[in-house]
This record gives sequence, C-alpha cells and structure tokens, in this order.
Amino acid sequence: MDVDNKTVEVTLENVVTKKLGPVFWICAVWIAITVAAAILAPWIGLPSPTVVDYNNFSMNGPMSAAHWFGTNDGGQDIFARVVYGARISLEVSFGSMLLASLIGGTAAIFAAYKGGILDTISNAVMTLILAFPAALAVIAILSFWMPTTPFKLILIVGISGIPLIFRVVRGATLAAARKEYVLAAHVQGAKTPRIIFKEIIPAVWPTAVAFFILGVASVIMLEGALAFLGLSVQSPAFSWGTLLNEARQKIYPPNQNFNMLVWPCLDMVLFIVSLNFIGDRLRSYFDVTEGKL
Amino acid sequence: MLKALRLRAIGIRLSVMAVILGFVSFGTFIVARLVPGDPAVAVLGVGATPETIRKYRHEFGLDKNLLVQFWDWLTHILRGDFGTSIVHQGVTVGSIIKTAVPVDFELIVLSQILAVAFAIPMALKASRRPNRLFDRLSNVSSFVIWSIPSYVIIIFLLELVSVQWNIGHTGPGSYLGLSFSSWQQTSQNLMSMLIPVVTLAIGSFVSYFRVLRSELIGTLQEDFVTMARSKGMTTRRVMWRHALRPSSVAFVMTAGINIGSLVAGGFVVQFMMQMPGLGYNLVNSITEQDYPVLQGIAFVVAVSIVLVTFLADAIARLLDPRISNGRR
Repeated sequence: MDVDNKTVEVTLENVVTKKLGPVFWICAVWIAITVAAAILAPWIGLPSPTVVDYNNFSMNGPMSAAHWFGTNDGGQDIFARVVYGARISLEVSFGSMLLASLIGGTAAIFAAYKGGILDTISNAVMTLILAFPAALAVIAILSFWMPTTPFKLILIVGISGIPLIFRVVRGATLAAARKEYVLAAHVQGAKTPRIIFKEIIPAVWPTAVAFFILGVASVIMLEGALAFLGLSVQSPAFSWGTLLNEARQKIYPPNQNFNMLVWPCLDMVLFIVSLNFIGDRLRSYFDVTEGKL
Repeated sequence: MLKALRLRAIGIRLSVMAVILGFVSFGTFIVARLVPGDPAVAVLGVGATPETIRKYRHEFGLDKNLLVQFWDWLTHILRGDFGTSIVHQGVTVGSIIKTAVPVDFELIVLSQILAVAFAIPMALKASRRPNRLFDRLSNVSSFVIWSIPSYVIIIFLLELVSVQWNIGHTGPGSYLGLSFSSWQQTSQNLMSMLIPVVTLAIGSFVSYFRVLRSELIGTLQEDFVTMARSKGMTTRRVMWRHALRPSSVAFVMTAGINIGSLVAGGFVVQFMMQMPGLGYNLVNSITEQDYPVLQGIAFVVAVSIVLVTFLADAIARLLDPRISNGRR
C-alpha cells in the first residue's frame, strides 16, 4: 500500500510541476522587449507611424528593408504602428489594473484583516457587483461618454476591475491572517499597521501580482473588443485594438492587405499568451486556487 | 429529514437567486438612467421645443420619480409586458427579444455540441498518458487558443472561409432565421452559423478540455480504475464507462459557466457577424440610448444566466448527492 501511494504522488508531481521553467523566462523576455519598445518608441529610430513617407511612397506596400512589415492603406509604416499602438494598449491595461489593485487591494486587506461587519458588507457588495457583466457596464458608460480617451478607459475599466481584485486579495489576506506568525506578531504587541505592512502584505503580494498580470492580459483583450464597437480611442490616436479594427475591412478584395492584419494580431496574441502563461505559472507556483477564496 | 434539508437548501438558493435578480435589474435600470444624455433630445433632435420634449417625457413616463419608474417597469415585466422602444416607433421590446432568443439558442447549442465533441475524445487521449507528447501538445495549444481573443479568430475565419474559399452565406450580415420549410433555407441558416459557431466553440472547447483533462488524470489514479483494468476490461471501456463518469459533475458545472457567459458574452461575435441575437441588440440599444430595449434585454440576460447557473447546480447535485450533504 505504501509503495502504491508513493507512485501516485510521483506521477501527480509530474503533472503539477512546481518549477517556473524556461518557457516562463522566454515569455518574460518577450514582455520586457514589447514594453521597452513601446516606451522607447520615439527614440529607437523608427519611421513615423502617422507621417507618410513621400520619398519612398507606397500604398499597401510589401515587406521591405525600409518598411519591415510593409505599409498600410495610407502609406504608413506598419511596424511603427504596431510598436506605437502598443503604447495606448499597455497604458490602458497596466493603468487600469494598477487603479483596480490600489483601490481593491487596499480595501480588501483592511476589510479582511479588520473583519466584522465592514468586511461582511463589503464582501457581499463586491459579490453582487460581480454578478453583473462588467464588460457591458463599461460599454454602456463609454458610449455615453464619447469621445474615448486613454484616461477615461483607465478610469472606467479600472473601476470595473475592483470587485475581482477585492475578492482575490481578500481570500489571500484571510489565509495569511490565520497564520501563526501573524498571531505571534500580535502577541508581541505589534500594532495593526505594522502587522499589515510587515506580515500580511509580503504574504499577499505574490497572489496579487499573479492576478494583476492575468488582469492586464484580459484588459488588452477587452480594449480590442471595445475598438470593434468603435468605443476605444478615436483617430488619429490608435491602439492594437483599433489597428485590428482597421485591418478587419482589409480582408476583402480588391483592397486586401494582410500585413495590416497579421502583424498586429501576432504581436498582440503573443503578448497576451506570454502574460497569461506567466500569470498562470505564478498562480500555481504560489498555489492559489479559486476553491480557497 | 434529509429531504427536508435538501428542500431547505433549494429554498435558500432560490431566494439568493431572487435577490441577485432584483439587484441586477435595479442596477441596469439605474446605470441606464444615470448616464448623461436625455433620450427625449436624442430622439426628437436638438431643435425640439421644450413643449414637445415635455410631452414626449410625459408619454414615456420619463418625468416620474426614478423609483416609481422602476416599480412600473418591474410590475409590467412580471405581467409579460416589456414596453416599447423609444427610438424605433411602435416596435415592442417583447418582439425584439422574441426574434433574438432563437438566434442565441441556436448559437449556444451548436457551439457547445461542437466543443464537447472535440473536448471529450481529446481529454481522454491526453489523460491516458499525462505529460507525454500528445498531452503536452494539446495542453500547450489549448493554452495558446485560450489567449486568442474571439475577434481575432473570427477575422481569420472570415478571411479563410468566405474570402479564400469563397463559400456563400458565411460573411457578416448573411444570417437567415432557422426554418425547416425547405432544405435550401435550413442549409443557408447553417452556413451563416458556421463562423460564429466555430468561433464560440473554440473558446468553450478550451475550458471543457482543461477541466476534463485534470479531472480524468485524478480519476485514473483511483483504485476502481485499476480494478476495472485488472478484471480485463478493454481500455476503451474503462475510459468511457469508468473514468469519464465521475467527471460529469465538473463537466456540468463548466457547461453552466460557459453557457451563462455566452448569453451576453457573445456580443462581440454577434456584432461582427451582424447577427440579431441578444448581444447584438443589447449593444445597439446602448449606442442608440434606447432605455426600454436595454433594460428588457439586460433583464432577460440576467434571468437566463441565473437560471442556467441554478440548473447546472441542480443537475450537479442530482449526479453527486455528496454536494448537498456538504461532504464535498
């Protein structure tokens, strides 16, 4: 019987691997490159994404040394547009998740640590809000608050993300607060702020970071969906989502231009895959399951 | 005793559902009213005189107290009257919902069948030898597919099917209502369903596959599987009859989540394919500031999500009585 149990454990460990693995680091490097390129875009010698290159003009041009991903229907460089388009997508996704984490995370830590009626009420409210499809609320508010700017997107999407972050961080805080070392700190006479900053937050942040990364990926996807409804940033500003929405019109002959479709898609999907992979790995690495919330 | 307990559990669940429903319908009502913009101005135009605007607001009850309006709306809905559109003259919300629901129903049924038809055999094959080539490949590819937004899938499908292969009735706006009166109409309906169904199925496939695979890997470690094998049963019979059955609870739960999220979550696909389902009409009513339509559809969506969740939960309880006894 002992032998049997051991073999079972070994196979299960093989399935649920506890290492981060090389793919994790490949994804991390890819995210770093994309983010760095987006931030440094004006200074790395890219052609302008908006100004048309009249010396070397080509509409729907092919891939070449001058235009790596070809040119779009307006003669603009697609590679530059993909790199620059990432700026608004990243700004909105990181910004809104930061907002959600700051408000939702702080509220959750205090509510869960203090407990009592405040915790019960805030948890009930957040659960009720989660029953409401957040994407539709975002669409409704954006459509009445045109024209969309990155700031409005960050604000609305960020607020809509608060309940989810709240629930996740609350679960992690509750688990952490039950630990012996928190009790020990309390017995030693540590004040609440000290316990929260020295004991609770170090235990909670890995979970929060994992969900932060998964949240960034889902906001990038949401921004694309909003662009298809015409609710993302307005021209001349552009993001990955609006680039795809432009490309959607270009799959029908005679004005086909696959470079406009394939490259933004590839960049965006690879970025989302990397984020999801890292977030998922971190989540299982720090062993957080939905069931424990 | 046990039966009474179970009835009580069902009663508690039902009242929780009622509270959620009440909250969601009140929430949509408030969100729809608090956002800036006056529907009277939107419909009558900026040049309308204050007199006509006042008459319009009175006609649609927009000048009453918000709580009174909510109460009127709720009592009318309970009598089956969803009101009329304030943008399209004389179109009742009920008629919009009546034409929209079959579209969603067909989309969901077909896409779930397709997703399950691929997910079960693949999960069985992957879990037979965990961490071997097929398992790793299918696991990685399902992960990548999970990260591809539906609108990217749909563009590439459109390019492939309706542009490259030039198959008719598959592009946006080609939707034709389901009818069995002639073979041509039925096949045209199915063709127009092809791209959205495949897109939605790809999304659902990933969740079915991942849940079933991890459940099956756990089940295959159980003693009764070893027992069945050692009795000399064929692998096929062990997999389908003994290993798959304990996964049915997780499967039903996943189906509930998938179907619930597709009721409203399919709006991007419906919008891009111009299919007049609930999601498409919901987005339209939002952009047109058509409050009665928005509220009516949001209510129907909320009711269906709550019902589907409740149903999935009830079926799971029937399949595995341990859930209601609190042992699982």
